[in-house]
Amino acid sequence: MDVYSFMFYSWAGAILTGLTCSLIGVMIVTMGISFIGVCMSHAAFAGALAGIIMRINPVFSAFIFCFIVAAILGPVSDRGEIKADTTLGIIFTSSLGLSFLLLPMIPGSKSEGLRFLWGNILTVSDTDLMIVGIVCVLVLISVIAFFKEIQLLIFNRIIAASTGIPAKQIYYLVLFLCGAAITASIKAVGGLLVFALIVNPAAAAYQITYDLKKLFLLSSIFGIASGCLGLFSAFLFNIPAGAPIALCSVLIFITATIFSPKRRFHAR
Amino acid sequence: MKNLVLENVTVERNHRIVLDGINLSVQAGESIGIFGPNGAGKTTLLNLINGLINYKTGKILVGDVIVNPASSRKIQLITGYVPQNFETDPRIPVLTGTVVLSGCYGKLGLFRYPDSLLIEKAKKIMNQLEITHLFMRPFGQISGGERQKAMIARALMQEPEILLLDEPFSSISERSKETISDIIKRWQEERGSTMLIVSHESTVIEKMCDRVVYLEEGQIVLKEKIYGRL
Repeated sequence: MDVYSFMFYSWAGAILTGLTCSLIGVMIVTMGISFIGVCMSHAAFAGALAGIIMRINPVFSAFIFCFIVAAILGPVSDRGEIKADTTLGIIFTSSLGLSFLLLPMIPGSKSEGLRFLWGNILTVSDTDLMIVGIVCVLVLISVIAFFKEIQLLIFNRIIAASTGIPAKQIYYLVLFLCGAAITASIKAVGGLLVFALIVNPAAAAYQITYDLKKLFLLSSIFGIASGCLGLFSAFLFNIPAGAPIALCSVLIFITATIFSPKRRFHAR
Repeated sequence: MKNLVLENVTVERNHRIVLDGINLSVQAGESIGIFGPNGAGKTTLLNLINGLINYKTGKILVGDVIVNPASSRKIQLITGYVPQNFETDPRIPVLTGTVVLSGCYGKLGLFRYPDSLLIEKAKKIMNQLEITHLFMRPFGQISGGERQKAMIARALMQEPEILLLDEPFSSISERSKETISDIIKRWQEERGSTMLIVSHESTVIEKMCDRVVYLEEGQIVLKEKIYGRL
C-alpha cells in the first residue's frame, strides 16, 4: 500500500467510525442504556477471538456474538423478570470470562487477538472500510426513516408502545445496529475504546441541545472530530491512534459540559 | 365505537396474582370510574386493556377483537392512554409539542410525519387545555401538572375509541381540574368513546362517569351506577 492509500484509509476510517458510533451513541445515551455499548464491545472482542481460533473472519464472528447479545438482551429486559442492568452484568462478565478463556487458546502470537482489544486505525483495509461504510449507511437510513419512532422510544418505551408504533421492533433494531456499529469499528479503535466513541460524542451533544435533530448532528460532528483529531495526534506524536481518539472525545465532552447552556439553566 | 368485555381475567406478575377473576362489561360510549386502595390492581387493569401486559387466564374483548400479544398494536391504535404522572429526565431531548403530536404517530404509520394540519390540530387541543405556550418547551422542564395536561392532549390527539385515564388530575390545580374534566367529558360524549378513569377523587368520578367499579386486592368488590346517570 502506498503512502497516499494508507493516509486515505486511515482518515476515511476515522471519519466513518466516528460518524457511525456517534449516531448510535445518541440513541444509546438518550435511552439510558449506555452500558449496552460496554457489554456489546466485550462480546465483540470475545467473538473476534473465537473467530481467530476457528479460522473464520473475526469481524463476522464478532458480529454474530453481538447479535446474540442483542437477541438475549431485548426480550429478557422486556419480560421484566430480571432487571436490564442485571442482565447486562451477567452478559458482560460472561463475555469477559470467555475472552480470558479464548485468548490463551490462540495458536502462536497473541498479537492478532490483542489487536481487536486495542484496535489500530492505521491498518484498516478496503474490506474494513467497506464494512464500516455499509453499517454507517444502514444507521443513517434507520435514523432518517424511523426518526419519530426513535424520538418516542427515547421519551418513554411504555408510552411509545401504547401509541401503537412497533416500539419493540424498533428498540431491537437499535440494539442490532449498536452491535453492527461496534463490530464494524472494532478493528479500527478496538473493543475497549469503541465505547468512548459511542458514549462521549453523544454525551457532549446532550450537554448542548434539547432538539433531537441537532443532537444527532452535533454528535456526528463531535464523533468525526474525535476520530480526526485523535488520528492527527497519533501522526504528530507517533503513538497508536486508539488512545488519542478516545481522549479527544473526552476533551470534547469536558468542553461541552463547561460551556453547556443546559447546565447554566439548571444551575439558576 | 367499541364494547369492552373482560371475562374471568387473571393476571400474575412476579409470581403474585395482581388481578383475580375480573369480570367487567362496558358498553360503547359508557364511562367507568375505577376506585380502590394502592396496589389493588387499577393501573394493571388499564395496562391490560391497552395490551401492554399479558393475562394468564380469561378473555378480553374490544369490540370483536380478542386482546392478546398478536392484536395488541391493533388495540393500541384505537386506545388513548394517559399514564400516571411519571418522572422523566429534565434534560430529555423531546419537546412538549412533539409529545402531544406523538398521539397520532401510530395512525400515521412508518415513514410519514405530521403535516401542518396535524400540527394545527395539536395546537388547538393544547389551547383548550391552556398549554399552547409549552409547544416548544422541553417536556422534562415543565411542571407535573403541565405534563399531565400534555399527556391528556396527546391522548385526545389520537382520537381514540377507548380512553384510559390513570389518575389524570393528581397534579392539576383545582381550577384547571374543573375545566379539563369538562373538556374530556364533552369530547367523550361528542365522539361516543368508551372511557375508564382511575382516580382517588370522588367528585371527578361522580361528574365524569356513569358507573363506578371498586377494586380491592385484585378483585372487583363493587359495581354501582352513579345516581342520575344511565
